[in-house]
Amino acid sequence: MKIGLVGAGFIGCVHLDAYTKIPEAQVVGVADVRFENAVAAAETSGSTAYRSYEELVAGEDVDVVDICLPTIFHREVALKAAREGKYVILEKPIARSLEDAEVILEAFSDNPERLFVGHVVRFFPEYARLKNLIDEGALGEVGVIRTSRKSPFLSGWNDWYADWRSSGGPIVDLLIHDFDFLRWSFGEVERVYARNALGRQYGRLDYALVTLRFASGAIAHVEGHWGYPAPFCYAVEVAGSRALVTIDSTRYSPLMVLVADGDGEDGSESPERQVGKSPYQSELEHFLACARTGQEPAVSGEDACEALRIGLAAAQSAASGKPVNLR
Amino acid sequence: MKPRAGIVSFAHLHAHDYASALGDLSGLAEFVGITDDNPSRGREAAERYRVRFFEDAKKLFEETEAVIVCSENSKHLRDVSAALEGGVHVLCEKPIATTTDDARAMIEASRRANLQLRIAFPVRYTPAVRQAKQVIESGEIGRIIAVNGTNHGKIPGGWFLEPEASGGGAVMDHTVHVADLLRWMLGTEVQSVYAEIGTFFGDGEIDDGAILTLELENGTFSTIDPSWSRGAGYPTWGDLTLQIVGTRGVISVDAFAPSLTVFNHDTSSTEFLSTGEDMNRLMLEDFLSGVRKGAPAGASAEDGLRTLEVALAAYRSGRDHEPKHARKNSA
Repeated sequence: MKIGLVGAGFIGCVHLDAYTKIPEAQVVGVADVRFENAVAAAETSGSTAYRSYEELVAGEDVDVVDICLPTIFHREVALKAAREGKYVILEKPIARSLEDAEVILEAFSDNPERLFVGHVVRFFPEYARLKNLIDEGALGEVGVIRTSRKSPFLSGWNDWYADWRSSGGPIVDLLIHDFDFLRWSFGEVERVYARNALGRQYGRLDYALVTLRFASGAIAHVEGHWGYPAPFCYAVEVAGSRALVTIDSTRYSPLMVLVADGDGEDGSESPERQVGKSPYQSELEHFLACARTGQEPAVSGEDACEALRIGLAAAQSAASGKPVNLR
Repeated sequence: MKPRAGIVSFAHLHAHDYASALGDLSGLAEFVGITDDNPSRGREAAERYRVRFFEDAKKLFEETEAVIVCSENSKHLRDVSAALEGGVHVLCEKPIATTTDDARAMIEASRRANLQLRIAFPVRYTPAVRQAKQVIESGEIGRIIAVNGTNHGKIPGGWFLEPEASGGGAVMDHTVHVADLLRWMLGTEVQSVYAEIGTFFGDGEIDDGAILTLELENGTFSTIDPSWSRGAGYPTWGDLTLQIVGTRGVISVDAFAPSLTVFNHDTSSTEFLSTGEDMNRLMLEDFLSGVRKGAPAGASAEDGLRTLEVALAAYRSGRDHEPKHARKNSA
C-alpha cells in the first residue's frame, strides 16, 4: 500500500520508523510545512518530500494518508482526504473539538472503514493482555482503577503542545489514551471530575488528576503529567473483587543496555528501546490489514469521538471545579 | 521521671503495635497495664505483653500518667473523657471520633482537665515522609501544585464494617492519614472535597473504594485513594504513597516500600517486607517525651478534628455529587 505521511514531527517520525518494518507498507511521500523536516524524513524512507498535503497527493499516487499534524489541523486535512477517497490514519485525539470530530465522522459516514484513529495503547501488549483478563472475568467485579501517564514536555511545531487551545493540554492530548482504554475496558462513563494546574502554575508544565465514574459503578483515577522530570512512563492498577492487576512501565525492563560515556537516556513519549515489535508497528499493521481486507478496525471513529468527549468533559470540569455528567 | 503508661481497649489492632513499641521503650516509659470493656480480650493482651489487666479503668488511670485509647471509633469520646477525668494524658487512635460534635467535646474535655490529648498519626514519623517534608520546605521542587496520595489496605473485619461503631468504611478509616500528611507537610488547610465512593470488594454494605479530590487553601489540589482494594493475596497490608508535584520537580513517597520480597515455597505465596525505623515507636517516643516535658508533641486533637472533617465532607460529596466545604458551617 502506498502511504503519504502528512506531518514529520514527533509522532510522524515514530510512524515512519514503524513503516520501514512493515513489508507491505510503502511510504511514497512525506509532507511538512517545515520543509527541512520533510526532506530529512523522506530521506530515511526513500520517498519524496513535499510542503503540503495538496502537493503530496498531486505528486504521488497515495492509498493511505497518515495524518500526524497538530490536532487542530486534523479536520481540514481529513476532510480533503475523505473527499479524495483515501484511507486515513489520524493520530489521536481525533480532533480538538467535538464539532470537528463529528464533521470528520460525517465525512467518512459512507465509508467508515476508511478512517482509523491512532489509539495506540490498545496495541501495547500489556494493555491488550489486561483487557483480556478483564473480559475473561479474572478480576471479578472491578471497583477502583488507577492509571498514570507521565511525559517530559514535548516540543512541537510552533510549541503547539504548550498552547491549550491547540492541544487541550495533557487532559485532552495525553490522557485521551487512558480514557479510550478505560472506556474500551469498562464501558461508558457517567460522570467526570478533574483538577489541573492550569490557572495556578503554568508554562511548559501541566499536571492533572481526573476521576471517572462509570455506569457500571466502577471509579477510575487518571493521572497525567506533562513536564515530568524523568523519562516517559505509564502505570495501571485495576482492583477487582477477585484479583488486583498492575502494570508499571518503570518496573518492566526485559533488556537494559548500559554504555559508558554515553548520553543519558532522554525522555520522549515512547520508550527509547523497544523490545520486540513496537505497538506502533502493530497498530499500523492492523490498520493497513483492515484497509486491504475491509475488516473492521479495532478502534472505530465513534470510539475516538467518545474518548474525546470524556477528555473535553474532564477539561470542562477542571476549568469549572464542578463534576460533568456525560449521560 | 519515667511516665507510666497504659492502653485502653484492644478493639483496634493497632493497640498491638503500640503495646510492642511500649515494651521496646522501657527506658522511656513504664508499661503498667491494660483496660478493656471486653475483659477477655483485655486479659489476653495483658498476658501477652506481661502487664496487669485492670477490670476498672479508673484504677489504671490512678497508676498511670498517660494512656493510649484504641477502642472503636464511636467509643473514643467515652473513653477519652474518662481518661481525662481520671487525670491522665491521652494519645487517641485515629480517626479522633465519628462526629465533629464528639471531637469538639473531646477537645473541650482536654482543655478543662488541662491534660494533653494527641492523635495517633504515625505515618508522620516514617523517614520518607519526614525527609519529603524537608525537601518541600527547602523549596527544591518549587511551589507545590498537586499531590496524588494513596492509603490502600485490605478489608478489615469486625466493627470496622459496622457504621455505628466505625463511622464509615475505607473513607473514614484511611482518608485521615493522607489528609493529616497534606496539612502537616504543606502547612495549609483543606478547603473543599469532592468524592466518588463505592462498595466493591467485600460482602458488606460499607464503603470500601473511593477517590477523593481536595482543594487546599494554598492553591494546591490533591487526590486521596483510601480504598480497601488489596485482597487476601496481596503481598503486604497495603501502602501509603504520595506523588508531590512541584513547579520544579517531583517527590515520590512510598512510605512502606518493600525492601525484601519473600517467595514462600510452602505456602506458594509472596510477601513484601519493609524495613527501617518503626514509626509507632517513634510516635510513642515523641508523645511520651511530650508528656514528660509538659510540651505536647505530635498531632493535636485539632489536627484530628480537621482530618475527620475531610472524611465527613467526602461522604456528603459522595451522596450529592458536588464538592463540599470541609468545614460544614463555612460558606
